[in-house]
Amino acid sequence: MKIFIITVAVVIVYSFTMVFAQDYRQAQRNSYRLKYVCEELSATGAAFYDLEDYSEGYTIFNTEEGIKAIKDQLINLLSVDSSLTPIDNSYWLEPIKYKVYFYDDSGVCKVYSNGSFEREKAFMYGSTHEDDLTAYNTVIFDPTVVVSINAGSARFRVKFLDVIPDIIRSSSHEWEGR
Amino acid sequence: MKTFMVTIAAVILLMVFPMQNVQDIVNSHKIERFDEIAYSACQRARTDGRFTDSNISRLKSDILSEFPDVSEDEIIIDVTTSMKYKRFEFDRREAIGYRIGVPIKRIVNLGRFLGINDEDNRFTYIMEGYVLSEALE
Repeated sequence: MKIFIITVAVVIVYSFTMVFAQDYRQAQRNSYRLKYVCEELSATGAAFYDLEDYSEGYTIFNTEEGIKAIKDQLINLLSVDSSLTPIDNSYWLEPIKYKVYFYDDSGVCKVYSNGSFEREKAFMYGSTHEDDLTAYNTVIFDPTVVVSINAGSARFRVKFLDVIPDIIRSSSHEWEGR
Repeated sequence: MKTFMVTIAAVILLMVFPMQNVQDIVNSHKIERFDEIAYSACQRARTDGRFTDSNISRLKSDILSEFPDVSEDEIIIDVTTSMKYKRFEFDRREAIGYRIGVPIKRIVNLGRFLGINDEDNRFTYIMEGYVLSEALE
């Protein structure tokens, strides 16, 4: 009887451990995927620039087209609807929040939040990018697009654990050797 | 004798958990590798302007080398093979789409021992999306 009781206790503990480990690995995979989405979106944002300025040696991003493309691709890659709420087949649970920063030769950084223009500020090459969503700061040397996404909390079925922080990833794409 | 038999039964039951843990790690590693392979193929397609035959062949061979229990017919590759060009205004029609999938054949380790059919003990992992072309016209 003693062995039976101990076995049942161990099975219960093992079950919780196994479920948590599975959820953790799934969260980790989706965090990597979110990083890929950030990389992809920053490359997309940097793909649109003003051709006239470019012919004169300046890289000025066409932020209107860049944001339009980022919005469309984000919906496609993260399985969210137009209000950024995850749809049925999405891993994520909460509405996505994202910020896009365009640094270019105009000397003005334009910041978009969830696809809408938020603010702009003057900057100089060599200054530090400070992100509103992450503590990751990088020095801007070239025209750069930074995309940061807060995808909310991951799916964890074991509820009695401490609250696990939101999954936030960031990536930048820069034009080198202009 | 009774204690011995209960102990053996308990050990067999408890073995399921570490075995499943190992299986989860293996599956997780396979999916991560698949993601990397698919991402690399997508980045090649971005610079080529489409999924070229050599890119698709490399994609298949990379997947087959990572998934020895999967045959070529079981791999899902539904990608844009027609040429797409870089545009300076966003046009979804010029995007390079991809839908790449692979079966993960053993979700639960010791599935048969636990009464799970091989057909039920699998799922298809699919990556889907698009990238913008960098190819100039």
